[in-house]
Amino acid sequence: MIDRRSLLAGAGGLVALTVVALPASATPADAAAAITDLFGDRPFSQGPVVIEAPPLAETGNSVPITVRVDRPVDDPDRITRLAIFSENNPRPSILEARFGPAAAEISVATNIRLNGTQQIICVAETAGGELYRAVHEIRVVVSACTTLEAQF
Amino acid sequence: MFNTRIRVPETAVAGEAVQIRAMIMHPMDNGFTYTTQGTIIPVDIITDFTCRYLGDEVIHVRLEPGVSANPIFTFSLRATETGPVDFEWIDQHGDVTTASATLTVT
Amino acid sequence: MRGLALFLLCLAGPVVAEEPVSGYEFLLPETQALQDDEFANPGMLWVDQGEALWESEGCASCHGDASVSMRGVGAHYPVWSDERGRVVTLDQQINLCRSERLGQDPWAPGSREMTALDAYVMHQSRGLPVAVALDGDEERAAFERGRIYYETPRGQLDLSCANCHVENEGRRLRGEVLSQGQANGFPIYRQLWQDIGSLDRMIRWCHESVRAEPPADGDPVWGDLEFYLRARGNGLVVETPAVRR
Repeated sequence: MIDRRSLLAGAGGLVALTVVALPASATPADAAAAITDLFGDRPFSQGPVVIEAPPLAETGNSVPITVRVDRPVDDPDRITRLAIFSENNPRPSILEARFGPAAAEISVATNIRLNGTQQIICVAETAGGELYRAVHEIRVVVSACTTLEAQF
Repeated sequence: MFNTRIRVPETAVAGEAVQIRAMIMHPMDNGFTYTTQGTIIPVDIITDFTCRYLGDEVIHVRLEPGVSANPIFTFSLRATETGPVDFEWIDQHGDVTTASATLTVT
Repeated sequence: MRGLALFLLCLAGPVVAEEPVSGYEFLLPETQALQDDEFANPGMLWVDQGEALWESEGCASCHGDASVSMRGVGAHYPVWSDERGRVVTLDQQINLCRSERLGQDPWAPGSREMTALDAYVMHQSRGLPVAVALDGDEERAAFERGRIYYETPRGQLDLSCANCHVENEGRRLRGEVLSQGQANGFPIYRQLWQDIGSLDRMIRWCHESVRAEPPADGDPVWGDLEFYLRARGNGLVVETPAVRR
């Protein structure tokens, strides 16, 4: 049984929801700026970076991806770090990983959040200072950030 | 300390690449969700994940809110000798969660 | 007018799904793979918590090893209790054990601890067919009460559970395909919540989605509804913890 007071309080809450701005999505320019922030303004070279992800994700809240660089861990021009960026999420940077001498391969799999259909970018940096890049498009049915904002 | 699940094989052959998996129960609040009363739930995330084998770093991940809730990482290490595989998660408040398993190498 | 409509609806006969189909069949392969992955299924984080509660709350003192004593148990719940004159769900049985045998305070339905222990107990029946007993008069009457609730339109949007999950099963609600709304995977890890969800939570979510008030706490219709939801899935395999959208 909803009483008048809780109905008004709830309505007030609804109004608050509608006037607060939805999270702005990033643009490819924002993703490029985030890459520059992290790696500096350098050109990309051709390199063995691979992104494995499904072409269609039914939930943007948990998209399984694997990023991999097919180069031995102890190679003289080894990969020092890699990072994943989103072109359309409110925050372009998703994660950054580095691999130590005990790793068997430069590869990590995890689940990420995607705010709708977009391209994700993986950038890898070598000890020699080169940058490699891979891009992958993923279609997302339900966006992570803008769907079900209220927790119930 | 949050609830964790780790998977380290019990045994491995020296030189073998061994798959490691680690997951932690954490909502990874991204700052874009609201309570039913309309108040925003602030960002609250795990920021760092590290795995070490025999004290040497295998992988370190810096997480942002774009990583899913209950973050899981799958990667591999090179088995050399019997020893501990240590996992550490640090959240934005500096709280540390750890887990550990022993890898027996023959 | 509403009463007449309801009467005619009942005369028309039960609007039952022809053949129960699990929500698993409505998922994309990646989500199915996540459910099948015994390690990475996020619901297992709560099953682990339930296992810790099994020890710390005293369940083990009577029931010992849950993988033995609880195997098949969850698949039969809810049950009709002649002694208590009502449906007893797994949650209610857990609370009965707590209050009558362990001297502990009951847990609220849908609470974190209840859901974790639920997940652990139901997980022991994973892979077994749901088998809610329907052979007695009382069981059939509870099933009927639950079915009537399921088929009654409610809320601002004036929708019944059956409008989506029976009449429009397999069709799209915006971008998503409607499942039959089966209960064989509960408690589930729901991607939309990024959290574990009890059947209680799901029922409340569905009510809120059609802008209806759920039944009052403690109303026996909760038991009847859960009885109907689980029994209509008889034959489906227990999938707890299922992963759903």
